[in-house]
Amino acid sequence: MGDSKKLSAHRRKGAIEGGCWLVFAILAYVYTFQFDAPQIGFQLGPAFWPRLIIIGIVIAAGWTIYSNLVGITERKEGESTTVTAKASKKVDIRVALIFASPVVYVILMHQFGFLLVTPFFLFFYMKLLGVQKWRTLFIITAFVYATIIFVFVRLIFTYMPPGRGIFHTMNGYIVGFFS
Amino acid sequence: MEDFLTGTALLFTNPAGIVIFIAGLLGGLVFGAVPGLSMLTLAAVLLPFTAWMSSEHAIMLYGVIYVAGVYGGAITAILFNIPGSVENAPTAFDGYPMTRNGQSGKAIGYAVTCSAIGGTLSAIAMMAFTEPVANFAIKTFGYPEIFALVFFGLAVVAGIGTRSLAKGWLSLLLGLMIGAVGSDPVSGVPRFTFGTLYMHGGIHFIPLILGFFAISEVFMQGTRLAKGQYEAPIVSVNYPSFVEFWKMKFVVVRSALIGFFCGVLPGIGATLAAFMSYNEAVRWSKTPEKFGTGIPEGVVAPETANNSATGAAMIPLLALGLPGGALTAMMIAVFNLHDMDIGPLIMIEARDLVWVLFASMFWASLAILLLGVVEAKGIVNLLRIPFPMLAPVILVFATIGAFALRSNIIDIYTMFIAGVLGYVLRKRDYSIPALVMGVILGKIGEENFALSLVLMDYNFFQFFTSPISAVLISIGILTIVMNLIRHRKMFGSKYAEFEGENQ
Repeated sequence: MGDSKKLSAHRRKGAIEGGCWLVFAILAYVYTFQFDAPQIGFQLGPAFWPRLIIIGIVIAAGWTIYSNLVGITERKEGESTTVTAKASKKVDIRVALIFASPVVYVILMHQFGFLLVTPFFLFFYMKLLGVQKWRTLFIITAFVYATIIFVFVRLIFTYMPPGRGIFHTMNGYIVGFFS
Repeated sequence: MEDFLTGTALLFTNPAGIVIFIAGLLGGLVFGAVPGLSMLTLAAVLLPFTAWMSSEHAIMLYGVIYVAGVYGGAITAILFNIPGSVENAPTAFDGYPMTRNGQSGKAIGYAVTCSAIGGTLSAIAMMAFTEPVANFAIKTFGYPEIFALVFFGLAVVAGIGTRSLAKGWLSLLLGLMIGAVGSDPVSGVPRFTFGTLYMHGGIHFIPLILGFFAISEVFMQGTRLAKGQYEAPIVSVNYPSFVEFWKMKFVVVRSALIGFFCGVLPGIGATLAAFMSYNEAVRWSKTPEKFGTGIPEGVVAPETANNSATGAAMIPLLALGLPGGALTAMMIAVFNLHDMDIGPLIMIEARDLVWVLFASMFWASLAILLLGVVEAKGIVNLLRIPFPMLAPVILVFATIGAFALRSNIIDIYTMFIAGVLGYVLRKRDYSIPALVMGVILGKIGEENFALSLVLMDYNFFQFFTSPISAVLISIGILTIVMNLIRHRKMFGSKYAEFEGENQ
């Protein structure tokens, strides 16, 4: 793709981004009507401050759209674009897992409790990021888990997500055992 | 001087005093460095036990924890982009990029030394000027002046951390919007809560900061690793030279003054001090565009200021009984546990005790320097741990920190959402410093703005009747205009937007 095409695609992307900000601002402004009523303590009402911010967003978003659609007309001589090659569109499962697995971890933690889920997460995430040796995986997981137990459970009694139902009880036994 | 020596003697002539001093110092450093736990956790846990201590030891312990805790948070901010507490967040803006550039030793060295200098200067000033400064600050700084100070800070920060000014402003405004979530500070009406009880109290800083810094960093580096583009940080144990420190003299003095002054203002303390001094470092710099890329001034300014604020925070606390933050509020509880009321008479009724506090903070600041110099060379070796092993540990510790705050699992979800948002915004060259600043200063700004308007009978022009607020607001507006001009010049007019978006 030539520089001018890259620039044009880039401008389009920038303008769409500005458009997203505008949509966000409009939605937020509409929401402010839900709490827009003058108060005895403050006559301008609780919606005044958020609306000031929203006006700011509209101005900055408008500026972004304008500069992308109208403003960028030519490149200066001697300057090079810094557009990097676009990443392959093929979904990288590993990257997706890097983002998704912490969320799954929290969901499982909610259900099964911190102390039951954490060693599996530590093990899995290290494997995901490229630690290959099983022995290393086990040793590091055990060491980190033991440190967490010692510092947070035994020394400073930090309350951890306890899980639900029978897992709540199991987490309680673990805490009781170590402390 | 005599009072200072008496205070020092009361501290160190008893072996128990020495043990408590060292324990407070190490405890503050460790808890300050663990994200989410912070020195407040330690202080809260220890509070009931202070009833069994002598009053001198109890108040000394809190002074030492305060000084050490504020410094401790800088270590993880610099090495792993995880600020130990909110006041260390600006340290990460340049401290972490310095680590990525192979200057971790220097960044830690600057943080240690400047924390010690800031704390020591502040302790000296606290001893000398408690009464006059308290009187000046309390009489002069009302709601309009504090709002003007916040406005000025926001105007400066919009130009930091991105090459596109529009994106700087959008980041800041997004931060302000996040700060507006929850009950309205004047009338308590819920805003943007989507009917949930969780959002009523607003979104807490800690999960947001952990998300924007630590989690987004794990995602950034993890993605690079998966794509084969990851570069491990270069471990460096080089301590900054005397010449390098000497170049920072103006930044140190300016930041110490800002820190001291912000610390005096009740309810604001070290957080505003750190952000304001970072802003000022940018404003006075000949190369402001380099901030956020890893320059020493970006570490020196906030670390000097946040430690400088610790001593200053004692002034309204002791002179007027007004705490500057949660830890100083706990100090009131310590005084009360020992049957003493803080207020103007404390300097007469418990003079020795006040000087014990002053002396302990002074010696703690110096001890940080000694401890820090020894520690700095060793602690950077943590960077040798391979990222695949470090990343899950960071995620788990951040999770503990977010949950420990108020035992609410939604804080953990908030942290991960902030992490993903932070990742996307960083990829698109938005400014995380501006965003975080918007969240933190937005709440303070709105409250003081609304209360000012009520006092002024809703006449906006009254902001210009007070000389201090008029000057601050005018400089803020001037800064916005100058930023616009500078960005157009620096990046070749409209082409800037294109360049900025490709960082």
